[in-house]
Amino acid sequence: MKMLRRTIPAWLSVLALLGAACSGAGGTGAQPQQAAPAQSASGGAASPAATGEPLKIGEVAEYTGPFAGTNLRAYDTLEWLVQRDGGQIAGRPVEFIRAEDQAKVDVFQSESRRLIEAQKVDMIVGPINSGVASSAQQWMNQQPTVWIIPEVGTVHYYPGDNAVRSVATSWHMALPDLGKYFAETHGIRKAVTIGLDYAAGRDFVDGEVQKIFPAGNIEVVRQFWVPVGNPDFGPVISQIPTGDDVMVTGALWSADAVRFMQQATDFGLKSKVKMIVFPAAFANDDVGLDTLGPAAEGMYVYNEMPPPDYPSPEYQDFVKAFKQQFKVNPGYATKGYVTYLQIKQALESLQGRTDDRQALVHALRQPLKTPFGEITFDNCGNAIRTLYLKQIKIVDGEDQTSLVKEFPNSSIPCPQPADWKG
Amino acid sequence: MNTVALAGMDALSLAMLLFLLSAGLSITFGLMRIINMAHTSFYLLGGYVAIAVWTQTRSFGLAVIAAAVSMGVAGLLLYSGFLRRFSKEDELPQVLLTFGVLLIVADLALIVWGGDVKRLPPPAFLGGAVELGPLTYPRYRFFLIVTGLVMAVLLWLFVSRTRLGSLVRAGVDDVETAQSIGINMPLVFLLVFGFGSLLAGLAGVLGAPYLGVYPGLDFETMLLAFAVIIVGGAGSIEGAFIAALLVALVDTFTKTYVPALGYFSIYAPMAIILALRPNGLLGRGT
Amino acid sequence: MKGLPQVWLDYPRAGLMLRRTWALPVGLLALAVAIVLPFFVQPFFVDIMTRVLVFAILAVGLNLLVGYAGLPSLGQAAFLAMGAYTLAILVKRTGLPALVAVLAAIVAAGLLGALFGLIALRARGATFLLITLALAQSAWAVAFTWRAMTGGDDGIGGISRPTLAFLPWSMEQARPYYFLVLIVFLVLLWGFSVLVRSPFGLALQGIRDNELRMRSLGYNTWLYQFVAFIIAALFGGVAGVLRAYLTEAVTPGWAEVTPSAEALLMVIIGGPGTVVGPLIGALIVVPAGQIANFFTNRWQLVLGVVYVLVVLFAPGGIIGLLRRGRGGEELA
Repeated sequence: MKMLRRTIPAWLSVLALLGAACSGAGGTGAQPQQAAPAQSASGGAASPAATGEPLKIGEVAEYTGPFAGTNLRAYDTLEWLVQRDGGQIAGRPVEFIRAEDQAKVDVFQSESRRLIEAQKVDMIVGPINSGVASSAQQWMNQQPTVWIIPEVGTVHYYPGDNAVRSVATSWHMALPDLGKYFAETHGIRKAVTIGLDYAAGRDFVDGEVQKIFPAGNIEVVRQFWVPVGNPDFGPVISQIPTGDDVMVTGALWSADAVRFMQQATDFGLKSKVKMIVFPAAFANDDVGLDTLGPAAEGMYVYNEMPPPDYPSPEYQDFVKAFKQQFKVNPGYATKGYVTYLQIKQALESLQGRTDDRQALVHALRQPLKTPFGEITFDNCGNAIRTLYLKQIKIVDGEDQTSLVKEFPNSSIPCPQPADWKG
Repeated sequence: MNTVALAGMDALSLAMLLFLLSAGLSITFGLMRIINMAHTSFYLLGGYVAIAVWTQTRSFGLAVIAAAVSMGVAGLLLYSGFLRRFSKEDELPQVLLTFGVLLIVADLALIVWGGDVKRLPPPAFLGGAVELGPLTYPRYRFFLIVTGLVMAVLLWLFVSRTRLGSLVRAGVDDVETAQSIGINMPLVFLLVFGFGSLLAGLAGVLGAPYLGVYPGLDFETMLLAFAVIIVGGAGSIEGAFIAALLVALVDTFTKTYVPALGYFSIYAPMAIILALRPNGLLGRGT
Repeated sequence: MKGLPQVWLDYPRAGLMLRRTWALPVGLLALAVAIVLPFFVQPFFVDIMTRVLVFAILAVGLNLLVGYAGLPSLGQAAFLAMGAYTLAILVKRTGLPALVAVLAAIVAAGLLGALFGLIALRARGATFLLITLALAQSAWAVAFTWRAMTGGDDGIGGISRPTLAFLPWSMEQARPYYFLVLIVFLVLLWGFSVLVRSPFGLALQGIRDNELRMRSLGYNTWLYQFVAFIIAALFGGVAGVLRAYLTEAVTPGWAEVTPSAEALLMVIIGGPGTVVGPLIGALIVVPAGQIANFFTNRWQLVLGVVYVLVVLFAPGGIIGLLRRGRGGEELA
């Protein structure tokens, strides 16, 4: 009993923590979220739309950890858009079921199978983690479901017959037109690359080296590789050759990008080279950009996410509504937006039917009209996207990306190269 | 030549940060044989607390004080509430319990501060860069180097010249004898643990403008911190200092010249040192 | 190493008591459930059961070090990773038949155990623990960095399960693979129980209790501990092979300190120094992780709390609790 009394403070703190854990299970927990059912129904007598049978969409990704911010943006946007439209797609009420995969293959498989077998989802939006997708792709191809992949940036993954990927992959980004533009418009003749030393990072840099630079006759003078989570860019930055015709590029994102931007500014790099340009998730309007301040200003980013000032009235409407709802400009959120349009178009063309998986995948791979252009899909299930080159500017005291130029028709080779191993 | 000089400065600034982080861990481990897996949680929390305070007050100095003091208190609480019950031989329960605390703190931090990388801007007079001939070097890193050296000297003086320091040294050498001659070892333990956590929190706030604060930082620095105390030996301030220098030098120069080796550059030398001198370079006792 | 907590030293006695009274009926019931349950649940659940067995094998191996040899190790996951990666590399890049690849993988893990043992056994107690931690992290660093060999961060995918031509069922299905793993587990468990009651096992426990005395009696204590290391690593290698086939992929995260800590937790929860303790531990820890993941985004928080709770209130594991409840002395 003495021991029990001694341990009371421990008991109390433990109970408090469990309470915190369970209350944290609310909003983004794994419980099914019922969107408000719709009143309208359309289609024939036998269609699920008429019977109001719910459309179950699984969402498998990592919601905790460093990439939580970007992942949540995409999924929250998808759910918000459905809710705005009465909680229905093609006349069927939508039920979203989230499952956490911790970015681990085991957990991803286990949770996906649980969604497929126990929850009987009609499709799964995910995975998001490149490593998970590339090691689990053979497994994914064998599962009795449809995968809609809004973000897997590695070239080591190709969708199977039951999947479609709407993201511009690392090879997508490497458009020769970009090289020509850098050389002609900015007088770039030399390039320095700084790349994260893992699969995705290497893909992007290799793409730049093989496709962008040659097109602009740009010489690669130095290549740096840093491990993910590298704390100190000092050694790298101090070795970057300076000059009026030098561009710094490569592959950096997330915490590494933030650190690089800050340290590059500290070292005065911005005034020593002509351009600092990075692809992909280097800077996203809705995740992390707001904490950077003047460090990011003047740097460029190119990826398939349209900037908040994209000149389309329909898109501006979306940006305004998004800002009102989420209090930031959309960036990563556009992935949720595209996924929403994709699912909506496919299901409307099928009158809400999801029982024929072949037909569903076929419908998902049809050309998709968006307010920022048309997205088409090739026979491999990969999207052909437009890339947006954006510069980071300070607008109303906050960082924001601003459109500089569009580069259409970026695609990943299809069919897969002969030496590609699944 | 420029490259070497710059890499060397970078290694120095990283070394100072590592030293601050590991000094507390080294003394705690040397004295109490406590393997505190949650030590770097204090580092992480120190950074977050500093940012929170800075956001409210815009004062770097206040942020530093708040981070250090709050982590010192947290250390006192952790020790008196949870760790005091264990004796020297209970390594496993300590490791598991502090590992649990590490997980708990990591998740709580995620709940409170989210997944984005947070920055702490250095005060204006420490920002920007300094021109040293052909080299441009950030002023804040000079500050880190200087601070680290000053702290190292202060700590060394404290341990070797003050009465409390000699009590600590006595305890590191032989706890039972120290106790038997009347030293209140439990109190010394408590104070040392609190102080070690304070140092970790201090390292956290000083490192924040340099590395940023984000989820996973606790795990990343944990490996570095343990590498330092393994190489330097437990219970020794000098050992922690030398080891921090070694680890930072190896890490920085490998990243500059042979980046392909990556993380391996720290662990391999560590394993070699362990194979030759299991107690570390300057370690004491079993 | 100085003595273990008293509560651990009572295990063999506690285990003996239990064996006489409950062991047989409980064991038979558990076996019956293990055989029948897969036919009543969905395939994803069967896979969870397979995972429990795989981790139980890992934990049983670790228990030899922790519970029977008195050597607390945070490096067990490295052996699992070694086995898994070796298998993956051999299966995907060479034409070796599956059986050869499996054996090679297990041997490789054993060799890694020998290496770890050579380095770590130079110290005891807390330093020993730290060294195993450092060695394990080195193994992870290699897996993560050596992209050409291990695929780096992506790991290696597309590992197909072997076709056992002499069986009418395909190992690609959840249930047949589960039974394969169950058989392996039972065989290994039986082997383990024979081992710990053998002269080797008894000597090992003697060394755990009082190394000095055993040495003065003429035992080469280092050799016994070294062999224990290798055996623990072999068990880890088997677990690695089975896990690689289960997931059909390998990732570097399998070698980190976190799964090592989980293995340790399983040993502690079930009760170190007992044969079935690790199985009980795995039965609790593995599904707990899945359930925590299902119910809350804060699974990390819940797991952390579990660690703390177990250490504070059940440092002797389930069996320790049982023993205390039956009127044993206050073993606080």
